[in-house]
Amino acid sequence: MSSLGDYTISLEDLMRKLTLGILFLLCSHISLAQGQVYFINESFSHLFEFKSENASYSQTLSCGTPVEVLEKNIAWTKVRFNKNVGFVGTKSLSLKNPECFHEKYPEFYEALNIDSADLYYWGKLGGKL
Amino acid sequence: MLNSTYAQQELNIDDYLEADKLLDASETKDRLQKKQAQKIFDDKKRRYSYPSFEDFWKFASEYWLVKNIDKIKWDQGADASELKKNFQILLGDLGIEDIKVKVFIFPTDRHPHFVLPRSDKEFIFLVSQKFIEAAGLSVKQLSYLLLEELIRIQNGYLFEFFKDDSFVKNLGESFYINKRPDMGEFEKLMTKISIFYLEHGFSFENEYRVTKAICKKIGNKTIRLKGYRNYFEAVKNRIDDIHKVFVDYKKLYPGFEMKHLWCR
Repeated sequence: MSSLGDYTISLEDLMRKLTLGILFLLCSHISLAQGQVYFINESFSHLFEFKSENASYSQTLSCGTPVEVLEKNIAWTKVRFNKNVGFVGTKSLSLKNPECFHEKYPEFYEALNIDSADLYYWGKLGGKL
Repeated sequence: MLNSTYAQQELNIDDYLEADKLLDASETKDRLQKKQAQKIFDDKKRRYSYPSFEDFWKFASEYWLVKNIDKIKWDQGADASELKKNFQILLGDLGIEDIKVKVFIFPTDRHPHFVLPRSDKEFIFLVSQKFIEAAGLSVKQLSYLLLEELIRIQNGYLFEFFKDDSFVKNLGESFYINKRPDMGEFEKLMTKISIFYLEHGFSFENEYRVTKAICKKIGNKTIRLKGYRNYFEAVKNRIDDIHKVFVDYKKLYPGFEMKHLWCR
């Protein structure tokens, strides 16, 4: 315990205040993210059914796709896209609409030979980058 | 008389226009129209343009990984989070800031290890599980291997290999006239990335510079210097085992037997 004249702060008090402060910051961060529109910032990202890269996925979202954030955590974020709800890697999301390759160079991108198998692996890669 | 009246009138109108700055306004309108037309043309040109050098390499690295999934199987490798963590600690210790790294350990013996750029501050490092086993390297030793890969890519050896490539020369240019990019050259470039890491590798001089650069960065950090020496001595001692799996390893990364002299 440390004494500063009439003001006495116990270590427990300090710890409690710090913990409350951290909790407040975490809660405010989560609630701020909820309902907000974020954008896919990787070339492709799968919309997984569960919080796992090995889970099945309902869709492959391309760069710049807007999604509604339902629950944001460190590794995975629950999002809604159209009527589908699923999980994407939090690192694959950004608040700002990113500059996407396929939008910046549409004619070059169109000329590429990208098939559905490529999209599958590209979506997997997006989750790992 | 009539003519002179008209002349007088015209003169008067001009005077008025000038006085009201209307001439300036019409000039501004012309300039705006020209600017708009130029913008439309530029947008069209941009739409039909090859990516810029920076945009291209980020895209090309991902495209290459996707197209080489059968050979690398980067989606099936062991967890690389511990290696990534160790590498980041090493980078922090050496004051190498703002570098974003992604590390994959892949299960095939196609390549021993290599790096792909996403930007000048972001890189994808790939190490073969077969290489790790053949070299018998610990996570700490592997961090130095990744550091060498970082210096190699930052020294621009990969880009130097492509400096005369006809596709690379097109980067940032427009194909508006032909309306179609040269995708044959693009596919050739993708193959060349494999050739660089499978056949070309690095020169003796490249390796000398990499080793010197790392020793300079380590400076007087004794533990780090010991760690780096420990890494290259380990590779040197297991070079024959590595050679059994990766027959070109000594050609691709020459000079392991000299590193102790370069890093005194």
